[in-house]
Amino acid sequence: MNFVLQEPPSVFDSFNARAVSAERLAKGFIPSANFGTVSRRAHTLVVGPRGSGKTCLLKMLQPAALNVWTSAEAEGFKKKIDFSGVYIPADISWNQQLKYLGADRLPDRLRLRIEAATVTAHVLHAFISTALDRMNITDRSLRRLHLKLSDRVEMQICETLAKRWKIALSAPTLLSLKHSLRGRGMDIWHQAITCASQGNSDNFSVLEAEPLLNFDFLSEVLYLIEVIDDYTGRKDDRWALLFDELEIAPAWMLEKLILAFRSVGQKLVLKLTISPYTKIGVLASPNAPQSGQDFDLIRLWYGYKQEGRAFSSKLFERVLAENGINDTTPAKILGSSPLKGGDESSAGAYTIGSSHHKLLLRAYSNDSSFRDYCQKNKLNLNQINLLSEGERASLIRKITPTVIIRDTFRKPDRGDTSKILQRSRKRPTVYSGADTFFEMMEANPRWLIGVLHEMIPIIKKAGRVTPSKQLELIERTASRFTSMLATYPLGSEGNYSSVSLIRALDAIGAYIHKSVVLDHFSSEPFGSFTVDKQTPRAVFDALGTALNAGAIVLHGSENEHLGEGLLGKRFRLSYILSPHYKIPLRLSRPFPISAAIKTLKSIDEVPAKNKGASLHAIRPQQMELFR
Amino acid sequence: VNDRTISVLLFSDLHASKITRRGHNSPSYFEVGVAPRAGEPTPVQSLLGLTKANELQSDPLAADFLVCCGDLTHQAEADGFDAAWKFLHQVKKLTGARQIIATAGNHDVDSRSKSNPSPVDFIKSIKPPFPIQSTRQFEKYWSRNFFLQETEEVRFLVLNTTTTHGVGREHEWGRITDQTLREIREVLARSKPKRINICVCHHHPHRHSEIGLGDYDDIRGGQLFLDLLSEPSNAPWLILHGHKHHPRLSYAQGNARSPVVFSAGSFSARLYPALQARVRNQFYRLNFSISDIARLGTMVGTFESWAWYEASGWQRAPTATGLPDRGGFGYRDIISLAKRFSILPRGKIIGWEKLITRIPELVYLTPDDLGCLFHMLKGEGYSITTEPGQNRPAQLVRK
Repeated sequence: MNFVLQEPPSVFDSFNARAVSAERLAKGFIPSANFGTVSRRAHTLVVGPRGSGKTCLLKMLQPAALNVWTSAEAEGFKKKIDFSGVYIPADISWNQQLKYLGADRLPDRLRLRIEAATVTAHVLHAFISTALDRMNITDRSLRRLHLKLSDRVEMQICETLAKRWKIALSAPTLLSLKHSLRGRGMDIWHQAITCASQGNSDNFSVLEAEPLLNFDFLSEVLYLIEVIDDYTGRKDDRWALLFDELEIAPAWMLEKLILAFRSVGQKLVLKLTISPYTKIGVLASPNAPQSGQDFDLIRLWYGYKQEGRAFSSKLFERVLAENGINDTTPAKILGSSPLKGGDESSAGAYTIGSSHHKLLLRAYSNDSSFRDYCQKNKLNLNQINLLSEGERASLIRKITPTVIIRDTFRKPDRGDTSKILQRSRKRPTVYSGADTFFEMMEANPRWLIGVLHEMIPIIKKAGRVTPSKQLELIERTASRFTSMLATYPLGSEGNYSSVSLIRALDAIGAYIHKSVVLDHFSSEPFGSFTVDKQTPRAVFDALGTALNAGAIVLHGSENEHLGEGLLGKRFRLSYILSPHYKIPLRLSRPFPISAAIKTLKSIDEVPAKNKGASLHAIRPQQMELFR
Repeated sequence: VNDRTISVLLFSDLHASKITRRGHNSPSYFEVGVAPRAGEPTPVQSLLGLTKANELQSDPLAADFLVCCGDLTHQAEADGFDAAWKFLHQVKKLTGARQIIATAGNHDVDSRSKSNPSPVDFIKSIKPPFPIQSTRQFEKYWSRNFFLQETEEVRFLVLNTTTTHGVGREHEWGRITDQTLREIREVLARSKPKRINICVCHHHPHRHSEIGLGDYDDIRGGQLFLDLLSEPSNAPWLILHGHKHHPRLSYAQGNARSPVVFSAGSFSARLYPALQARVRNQFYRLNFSISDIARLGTMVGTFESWAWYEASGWQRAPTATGLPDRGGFGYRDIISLAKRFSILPRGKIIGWEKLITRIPELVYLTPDDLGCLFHMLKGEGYSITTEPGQNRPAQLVRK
């Protein structure tokens, strides 16, 4: 009998915050330092790849979410947040679907107005929903946000607004207004599609008579705030519009919102999220709002490892606790990381006879170019215990990860480097251990939760996860991730197929692997890349997609964003891909990406069996896992 | 005054099945012998989750009785039946239910003699015994095709409508034979009506042919059965059935005390295309307030429904995905209810929760009758807002 009693679901079951209710989200929420920034009453632009937690940051600013957020950290934020957040997810139907359903038969001006009107209906609907949520606030520490309306005032507000927007209400209540706005947005859209499919310009006048076509969503929101203020007598009420995933919204909308950073006034702040590779032409103009002055910029990726690590550990613990696993640590479960110094204490790490010492001796005998390095630097491996701390750091500690990776993936060369030195390792367990695990997860909550879900039954049974099992789970996550990359539609400008995106990553990975493992030993091999002028146009789009998905990570100062494009910027591959490409988890020396892209053609000429496994090639087999 | 509430969990048409061919959809989300995939809830796993208290769920699923209207398995698969029957026992334990009241569906009997010349040999041999532990009742079910199961407040009439399956084309519909009808009449005449009288069967007792679902498979003899249950000497009855995978709540043809007919949606079968766009998989809990039944002099009750979402599991589903997330049945006089709205104050926004404290019978109207009532009121000086896809008003203002 195969029937197994399965575990009940937990709050972490859904990986995508977009589909999760505020209440559910609040139960599992862990505030990062970024939440501190986003909860300030200031305009904010949040930039982050898929799964980096953008949606969660915004959704937690809603009164409904704050009302049910009860963890220890919550109280401070509840006292501090002095605005009501209106969450507005961008809807792809605002432009894409309209295009595919034949709206190109509508005159441009009309089509834009229809787009704008559906946005207006959507924004006002979200606003009224939030007002209703504010009426239902029960938490006393959120009294500031509680909206108390008498029946009479509620009816007056609704009648005023309905008159302005020319809406017939089934009852003069906010709830009825909310329903009507939802219906109105759908009606406009429906009419537009009907008109477009009939292609009869006589019908356009019917569409043009729609009152919402003449309203601008920002002005209407400000009007709405004023009406509520006037009827309630509250003058200190503040609101925030929280626009999520603006990369899929019409371009005019993002530009309008960014320009509004400088003009929108005291009553309203704007908080926007976008993917890293989103074109924002307006930021290049001389009057553009400035990050740090006109708005806060939050970058949701972790070049800064410490903060990412703290967040990841907390999330790790929270998920385990949710599943009834307490009194353990990531280190107990995952062990120590060979790439991070392994078990040895720092004092014993480089003594004679230590595992590091043995590693270096092995490299000395197996790897002729490493011997050259030692000789050139007058490094006597049998006296490393005599080195000063400074010498040890600059000569040895720096090269250890490279030596480990070479030791793992390179055959002894016996002085003859012309032979094939590549060594295949099915599950290279050098990538195991808690420290390495967290680096590979890149503080991406969606990846972390995904892997943890698969680890929990194992932890419950055995208390730990073996290095080989860790690698299996990481590889599975990485391969799900790359399968998803292959399904990404590329922009219409790019002629590169989706395979090219994977192949571009493969080329970069292979280039780094060659530099680290196959070439002559270098204390500073390649590990990151810059986008140079020789980069083909199509590769830009592929890189943009990779960046938005989190497959590559931008390296740069905190105020840097991609307003001006990718050219000249420095990136590294996401560490989750490191085991697949057999490369270290290090930023290291950059190379121009065009050098790696040039190798793409020569890969085509090599017979398939010698190519080495491309991420693309492993995918069909991995897909079996999902059947 | 007895203010006890009796609750009944209602499942139907699980169609539990082993996947036989890789890459092809199994007939059911209840897949036997398949490990759950991370992040993909299954109806079974998600339901068991609902029975446990945690910080998101202060009110875990509990009930007094657990009813299953048949089709536990698919095409008489032994492994499927076994898994579903064990699952029901698991749910009984976790919800604190006193008893499982089950009946067989057409998929539970081997009417095509796949593995045995007798269609019922397997199902009669299963452990724990199906549909009931008691040997006396077990024998009545398999020889007389029905039995009565009674407690202080509830009387269940458990009916097997598959008894002729295996003969000719009989597997295409349900049947109550004349002899069975005679015997039911005799047994009911000797039995005392209870506050709550529930008949459990697999096939539908009256036509149910919406969205091209066909009108051939109802119980042959069903009309005579409904007439029997509507006789003045009988208590009002509620009939729970499955088979159609199409949730529906109505009153049977006949007099003003004709049975309430509750067609339960399927718990876990993958729905055929005609249904997919209209309804979801569902399960239900029916609640009976003993004091309200006594006060109103008829069997009234409410239902709660949960709907299946592939990404997020069982959810209380407010919009029209079969039956709404809550509703009622048993109170039929909407004309006199409409007159009582004049007690409401003018110029006030009255939400549903407040409304039912003023006119409590509203909770015992079926969703269809609620729609009729508020349609009548709209023309008479009331403005009413309903949630999209619902007949229950969210707010009402008397002008």
